Amino acid sequence: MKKVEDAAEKLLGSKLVTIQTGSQGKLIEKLYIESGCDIEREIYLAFVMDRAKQRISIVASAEGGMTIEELAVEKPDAIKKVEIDPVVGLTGFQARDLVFALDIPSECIKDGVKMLMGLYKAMVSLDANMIEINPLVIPQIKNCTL
Amino acid sequence: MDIHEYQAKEILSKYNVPVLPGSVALNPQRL
Repeated sequence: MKKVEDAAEKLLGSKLVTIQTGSQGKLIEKLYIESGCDIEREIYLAFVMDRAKQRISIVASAEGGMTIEELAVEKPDAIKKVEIDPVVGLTGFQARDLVFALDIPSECIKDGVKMLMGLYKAMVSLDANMIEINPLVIPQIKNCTL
Repeated sequence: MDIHEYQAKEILSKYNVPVLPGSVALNPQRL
């Protein structure tokens, strides 16, 4: 706890400079503190609005960690796509199929499907343009987490 | 990106998406 306080003391009120902030940096006013977890694997997962096809698609890859843009160029086969029929919605079959394609461990299959269904529901009911989870983490104690 | 990561996590946790527990701190005394 002391360590967290010391780290927070240093960060709050200081300037954060990243590619996104530009050279001026941004003042840190708030900190998000989260419990950690031991990571087994990282997965890329996104629900996107595919305007050309006029439907929501899932874009996913078992090879997380890397930026998805690089992966699209170097290993296009590693990216899985699922198109969702707006009339039918995301089917259990599609969700399970994707979970298997991502090689998600058997203990996590049920949770994975439940999560995909939840994300689809969130996407539709919130009228979202995109939900991107990067990385989706499979922890060493096997229950899927963000 | 329209919302911050912690806000997205709050929303998604209501939709059966597992999220690590966490919270926002405004000063070091109130973590």
